[in-house]
Amino acid sequence: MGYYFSVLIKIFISFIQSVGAHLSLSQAGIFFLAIPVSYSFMAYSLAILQKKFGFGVVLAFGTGLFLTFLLGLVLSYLYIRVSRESFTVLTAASIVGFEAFLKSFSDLTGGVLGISGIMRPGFMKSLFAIMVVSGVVMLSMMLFEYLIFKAPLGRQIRGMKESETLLESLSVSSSKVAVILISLATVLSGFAGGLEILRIQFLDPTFGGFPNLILVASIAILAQKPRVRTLFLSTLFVVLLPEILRFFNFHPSQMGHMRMLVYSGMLVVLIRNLSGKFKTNSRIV
Amino acid sequence: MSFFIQILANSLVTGTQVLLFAVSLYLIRAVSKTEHVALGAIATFIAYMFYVMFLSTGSFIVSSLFALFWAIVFGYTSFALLEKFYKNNDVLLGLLASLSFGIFLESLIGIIFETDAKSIIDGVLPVIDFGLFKLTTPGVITIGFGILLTLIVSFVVLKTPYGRVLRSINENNALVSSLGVNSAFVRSFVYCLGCILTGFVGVMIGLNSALTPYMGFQLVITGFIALFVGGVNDIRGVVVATFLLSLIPEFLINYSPSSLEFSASHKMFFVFIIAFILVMYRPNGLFSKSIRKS
Repeated sequence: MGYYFSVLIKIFISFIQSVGAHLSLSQAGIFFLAIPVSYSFMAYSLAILQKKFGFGVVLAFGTGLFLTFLLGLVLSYLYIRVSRESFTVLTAASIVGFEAFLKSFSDLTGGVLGISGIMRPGFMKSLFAIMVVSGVVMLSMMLFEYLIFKAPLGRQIRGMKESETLLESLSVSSSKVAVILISLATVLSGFAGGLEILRIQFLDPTFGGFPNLILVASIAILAQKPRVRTLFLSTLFVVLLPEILRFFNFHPSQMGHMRMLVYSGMLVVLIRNLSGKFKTNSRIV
Repeated sequence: MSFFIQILANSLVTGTQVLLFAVSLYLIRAVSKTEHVALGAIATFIAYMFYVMFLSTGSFIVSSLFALFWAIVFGYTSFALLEKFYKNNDVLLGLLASLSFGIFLESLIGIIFETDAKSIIDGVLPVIDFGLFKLTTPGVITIGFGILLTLIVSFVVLKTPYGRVLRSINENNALVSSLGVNSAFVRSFVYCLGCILTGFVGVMIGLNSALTPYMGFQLVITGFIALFVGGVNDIRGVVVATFLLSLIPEFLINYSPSSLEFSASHKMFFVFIIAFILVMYRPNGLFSKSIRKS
């Protein structure tokens, strides 16, 4: 039963994390690749506040989320300051930079050994309780994303992908939309990181990283339409796909590589098929 | 003094490795507008192919030719994979596809060769003593060939008609094609050249230390940062940024107060911080000129 609960939690958490990526990467066309950084940042903030500063679980979670929001603002500033390509590369490089930070400043982060024994709140003691909580959060996120798509912000997000100039001509600041999206993606990814760390109760520098980016990017790109249902189906497909590998007798040390091979191969095919399909001039208006 | 020069020499080896990556990224970007992040994994794969052939034949020449063959195969594979993004002007999707392709290759290496380090040369590496400093033979070859290749590439790009064709493809592909230049051939050639240059670095790293599935990734990321810090259209800026990003962290680690306890693991963190500061102050490149906005 524990396995099924774990898979369900994985689906719920991946959905929560992918909402931000769906809005920024897939809908607005902002290539914000620091999503695993905020995922890991929140998890480390939560663990450090608990273990080093003696915060209670809920307070540590709230403070961690606020710190993650501040990180989102810094990354938003970067978006406004540098070119789009530089932003993409720097956000991708931030994954490597943050991992190096985690490994290097071991007094604070526990280095390569990480931090263990992270406490759960009283209402999340069992795996079932975690599943219920993350399920409720996921449903709230579904409603939240649905409302965004129906609101003017949803139209502005889609308009941003079409043409930033056009958006500006309609008196909508594309920078403001980008700041909202990047902050939102950072906070939601952080929230997912916080939930995941409460589940596994152990943290090391490999938490997040490029495997997480590939997972989230696969979900977001596959769910190209501005619909919550599509995002959910995409999450189901991407999270459950590598579970098929369990039926083969691969050595445990190979499983991680096999999972990444499947994800990355799928992403290459998906992206190649997507190329050119979103051009305004190729659509019938 | 000799300690300082030794650090400088070691940094030059690492800097040259990053430089070759940055130059390859620059060339590929110049003709296809695409950031080919998978070059790190490609370099690693080529180095592993060299290792496999060297294990079975023991010959450097045969292994080098085999590695060259794989570099060309990957050059054409990269061209086939990324050409569609160039044609559709989906530059950022191309970057994501390249990143995924790189991770695909790294996972494949992990499955075939497993993650433990593989040494091409067993035993002590030959060392050349220059008096004030010492370098391993692969290190000397890396610096020598690396700087020579960079000078040749810079000369060709900046001073020859071939370089003008290369740069003009990026400006206006249709116009260049109308002048009888086969731009698709030029792009595929540059992809192959990029794979050969980075494959050379991969093999040199394998000879100098050991092969691991993820060894190319950090180099390509540093090369990438150097490309954007230096300025994507300015090869001079790229060269300077590469050495800045290699030398400053090395000196910070070796000359900071011991109470700070900086070690080699801090290097990538410093690279990122330096790049972040430089990009914030010079977003268009180290030597970019101020452009007025209307």
